[in-house]
Amino acid sequence: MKTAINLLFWGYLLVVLNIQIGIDLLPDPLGYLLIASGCSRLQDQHPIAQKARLFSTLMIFISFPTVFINLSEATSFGWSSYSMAIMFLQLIVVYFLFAILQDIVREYGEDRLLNRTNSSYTIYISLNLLLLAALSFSMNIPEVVGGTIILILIVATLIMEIVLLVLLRAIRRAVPSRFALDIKENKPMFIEEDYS
Amino acid sequence: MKGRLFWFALLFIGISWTANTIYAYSKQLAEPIFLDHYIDTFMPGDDYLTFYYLTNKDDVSHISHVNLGGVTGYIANEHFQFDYGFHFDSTVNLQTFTHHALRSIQVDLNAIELEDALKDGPITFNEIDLFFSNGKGVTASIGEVTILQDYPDDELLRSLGASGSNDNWSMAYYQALESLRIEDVTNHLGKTIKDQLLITINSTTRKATSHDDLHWDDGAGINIWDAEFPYEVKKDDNFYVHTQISPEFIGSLSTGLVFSGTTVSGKSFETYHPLYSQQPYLTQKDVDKLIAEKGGAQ
Repeated sequence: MKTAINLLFWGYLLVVLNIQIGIDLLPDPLGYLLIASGCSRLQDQHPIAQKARLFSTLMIFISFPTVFINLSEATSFGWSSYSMAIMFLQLIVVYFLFAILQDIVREYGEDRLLNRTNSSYTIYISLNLLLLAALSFSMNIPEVVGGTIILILIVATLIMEIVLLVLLRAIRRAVPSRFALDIKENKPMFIEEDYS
Repeated sequence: MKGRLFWFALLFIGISWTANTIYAYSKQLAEPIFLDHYIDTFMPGDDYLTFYYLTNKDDVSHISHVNLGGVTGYIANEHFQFDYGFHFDSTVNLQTFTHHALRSIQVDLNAIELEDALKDGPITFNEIDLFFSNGKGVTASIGEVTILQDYPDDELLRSLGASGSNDNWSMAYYQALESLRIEDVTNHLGKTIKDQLLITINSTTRKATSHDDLHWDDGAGINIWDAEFPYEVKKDDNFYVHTQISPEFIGSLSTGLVFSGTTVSGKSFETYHPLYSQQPYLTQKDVDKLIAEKGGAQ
């Protein structure tokens, strides 16, 4: 479990961070590969991880051009559309990641962590939906108006990316590394803590 | 947030994205729209010819060279001051609007071809052939550009100074070195720009001999388009030329007035007064008006 969440953390970190020196030194397809791998480890216990794995596998291929092209500098119509499609799909991946995290926390976490996960989910998804909505209108409204709103939303969503990464670490700490099924109670049973 | 709400919001954004894209695409220009340029200039020796045009905001194509009335023009690196030469090919927006951008090119005409073309007198052209780096070629209407061979100036009006403002108002001060009888004021562009320009002239007996001594007499002067010539200027009098380009004018003006007449001693003279407009500053309304007038939307 810890390994799977670790994979989600490192995978998502690669997706969020871009170090572009000719190519992206932290390639998104590799990030999605790690996420897909993490989801694959989780899907037996958390069936929702199957959907996250499906979308992150799709993103391994779709995000491939981002290794070579810095989308923040691309201005052509085609690349703008591609960039928007990437943002859509990335949000869907995160939507399913949150669903997995909520499932895990419900099982192993405390109420406080569950509340934290739920509120992070609501804020993260809402801000990203607002950003996507604002971007969809940005091509037809004056830059001075749209630019300010979009800039504020970009900063807010960046903060939420950090919140999600920190949350992944917190959940990793909260779950036991090994467990067995308590037959009597029919629920996972904590065996030992793994500090690795 | 409930799952259904998330998918509904994504669907709404998808529809919004599609509708906005279709609308934005309908606003794209099929080819650049050049502003009206009224230019008469003396070549070679003059600076580059600057042309302003509207294009799509995300247009990344570059104009590699042009053809003006059979003379090849090369594109100078006009944006050197913006990027210190690091991006020789960059397209720089002078102004950015919702869907379009105002850009400029500076054209350096081939001196040999130009000299050859000027053998038969001044050349005038109204269109420019543009050749893009992607191989595309476009012919655009640019107003009226005349290239002349000589610069008529008998230097009987000594320039004392000039001033202007960014709303295309300007005045120039001269001192007559002899008593002059101005019999005509001409402009190579003639009637084309008459409606766009208010030009008044005035002379006083104030004996200003340097720029520091000068004061403008507000409102004084006669409109040269209605003036009855000859107009006399006494020796040492100050002679003022006041010009105002119509606020309705959307374009670029670079021309001059030729004052011609005779001196008190009966010698004929011609003297030249240059007229320039500021770099165009457009509003979204101007852009919409230009596109409606000149077409170009897909």
